[in-house]
Amino acid sequence: MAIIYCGKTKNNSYYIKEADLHIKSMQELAYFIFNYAILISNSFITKNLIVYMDKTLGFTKLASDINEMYNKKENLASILTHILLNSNYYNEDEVYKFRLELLELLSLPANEYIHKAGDKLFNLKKYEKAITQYSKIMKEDDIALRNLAFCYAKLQFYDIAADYLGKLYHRTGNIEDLREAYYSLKLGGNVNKIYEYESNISDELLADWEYEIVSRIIKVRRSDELRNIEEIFLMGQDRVKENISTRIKIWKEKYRYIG
Amino acid sequence: MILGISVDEDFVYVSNNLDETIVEIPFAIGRNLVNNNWFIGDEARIENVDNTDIVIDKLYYLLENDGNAKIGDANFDAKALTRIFMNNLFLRYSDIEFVTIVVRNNNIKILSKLLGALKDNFDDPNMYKVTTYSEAFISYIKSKDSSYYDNPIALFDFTEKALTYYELIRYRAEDRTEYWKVNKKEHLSLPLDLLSGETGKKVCDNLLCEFAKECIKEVAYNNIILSGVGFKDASSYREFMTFVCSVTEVDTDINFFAKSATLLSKDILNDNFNTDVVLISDARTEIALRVYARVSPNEEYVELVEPGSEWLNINNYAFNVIADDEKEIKFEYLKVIEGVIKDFTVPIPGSNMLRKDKTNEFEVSLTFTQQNFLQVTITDRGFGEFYEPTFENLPPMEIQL
Repeated sequence: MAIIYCGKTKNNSYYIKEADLHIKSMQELAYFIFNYAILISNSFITKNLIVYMDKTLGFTKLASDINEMYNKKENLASILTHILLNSNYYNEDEVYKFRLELLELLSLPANEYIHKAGDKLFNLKKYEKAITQYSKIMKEDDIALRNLAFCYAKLQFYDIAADYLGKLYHRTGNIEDLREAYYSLKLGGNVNKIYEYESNISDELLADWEYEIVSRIIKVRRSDELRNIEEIFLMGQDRVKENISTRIKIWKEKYRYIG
Repeated sequence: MILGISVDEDFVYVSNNLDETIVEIPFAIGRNLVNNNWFIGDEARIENVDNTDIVIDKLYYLLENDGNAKIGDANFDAKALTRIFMNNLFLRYSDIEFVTIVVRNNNIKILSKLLGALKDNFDDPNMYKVTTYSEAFISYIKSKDSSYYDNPIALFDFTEKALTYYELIRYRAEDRTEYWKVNKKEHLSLPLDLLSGETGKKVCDNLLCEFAKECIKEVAYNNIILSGVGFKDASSYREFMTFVCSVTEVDTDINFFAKSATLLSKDILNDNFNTDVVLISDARTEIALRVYARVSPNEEYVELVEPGSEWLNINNYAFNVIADDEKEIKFEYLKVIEGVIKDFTVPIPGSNMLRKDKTNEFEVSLTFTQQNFLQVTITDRGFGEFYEPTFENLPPMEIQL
């Protein structure tokens, strides 16, 4: 075994629209194919990707092979497998495993396939893309509906998240879903809306939830993350500005497709 | 008295610390067969009317070719003749404290023979130094204020047969040590007797100008120095002069190297000669650097720095690797001229507490801080947009090669 040589950092990245991701090396491309094949459709292989592999990543031979396979309209699984085998990343055993998993994925029922795609996007923190997937199956899939609510909560649309959790509560009758809805409303600043989801909710239950929220706030105040933020403020204006600018950049990325 | 001597193909130029005079002595030696007296320079070139003298002109070429010359009944090799030449030369000066000799084009062969000649003339090895034009060039520049050499300095040396271009660049490594690099970049055959006629002057001027434009394009120079007897008459190269003056400041000093050699002698005598200063000469710096890695489908040494590269130019050379269960990075270092190969490894810090398989990507950055000291910095890069970096970077490691 030896380390894997990846060359110099590339200035140009390639945008994978299926996952709202930018990749900068052949290894990242291979990693995406291996772990997120469920997000890949036939439109994944494009002339732009082939040119990027050739000119930017310097995998000229592989790019030429893929171009030939693409022109011959070979199936996607074969093309992806060829990329993995020649990506200077995965070995033959790993690629064999990938092929088996890919076959398994392709045999999944449509709803399950969409659900898994949503989960992959959720794990990648691509919530807006995950929303698109979960929305397709939320009518018949409780977990998808819950995840859809969580996606909105992650994007800080707390009222929408609460509405979906309220819907879920009506469907399942599970008090945990109502509790999550209450937390969302609390974060959104509109707790009275909880009575729209459950008019008979007891004051004791609400008190318990309030107690839990306060406990969590105390825990957060003692967290390392908060301490780091406070330390940044102590380091002066420049560090604060730098961190705010980073945070805004992350938010912009997250909200690019919303609205 | 301190002497600085510059030797080129035709002349020996002698400078001293007491006055500004420069003595030009043809590099020639002769012997009178009647009285067996040796004579050097112009004395040797005086027309021999009664055929009693044997004259060896162009001693430089004899030295370069390890030649012999028959004088009277005896054969003398070039080294012996040079020793006698130097002996005669030093007889002209009294109370010599120190002598530095520099040789045109950094010619190692001539340098070594001159060193032998000095050994025979001086009992004390602390009284002389033989070195290259490059080192004298640096000594001259270092005698100036540092603002003089913030940017590279260009030097055109125009002697009897050729015009040579040198470029001097100062570097500062991270440990604040100074490094100087002299590139002898170009050489133009240009016989000085071309300047004897007006047409020749015009041709020479055009050639000089084209040569200069080629040499000094795209670099911001602090100064351009014109040295050598070819630059004695400014009217011979007006177009060239207009061009170089349009680029930056120009200093003309036709005896630049002899004077620089005297400055170098002074530095040595006054203990100002900084032995920490590393002169970058080609023979000492050509290296290659490789890393052992998987480049699908094989495991092999990947060339990071191609053979012939200069260590000083390896500054923040960065590349990325993925650990893939490995705990160290294996390198191979090669000194091309010496043929020395050295292996060394650098541990990958914190590799047991990182991310999912195959996502432990690091940037490895290499910088030579001194000639045989390589600084290796390993930075956790995360893995694209999939994973953020997860461990704190360790301080750079310094490897002595």
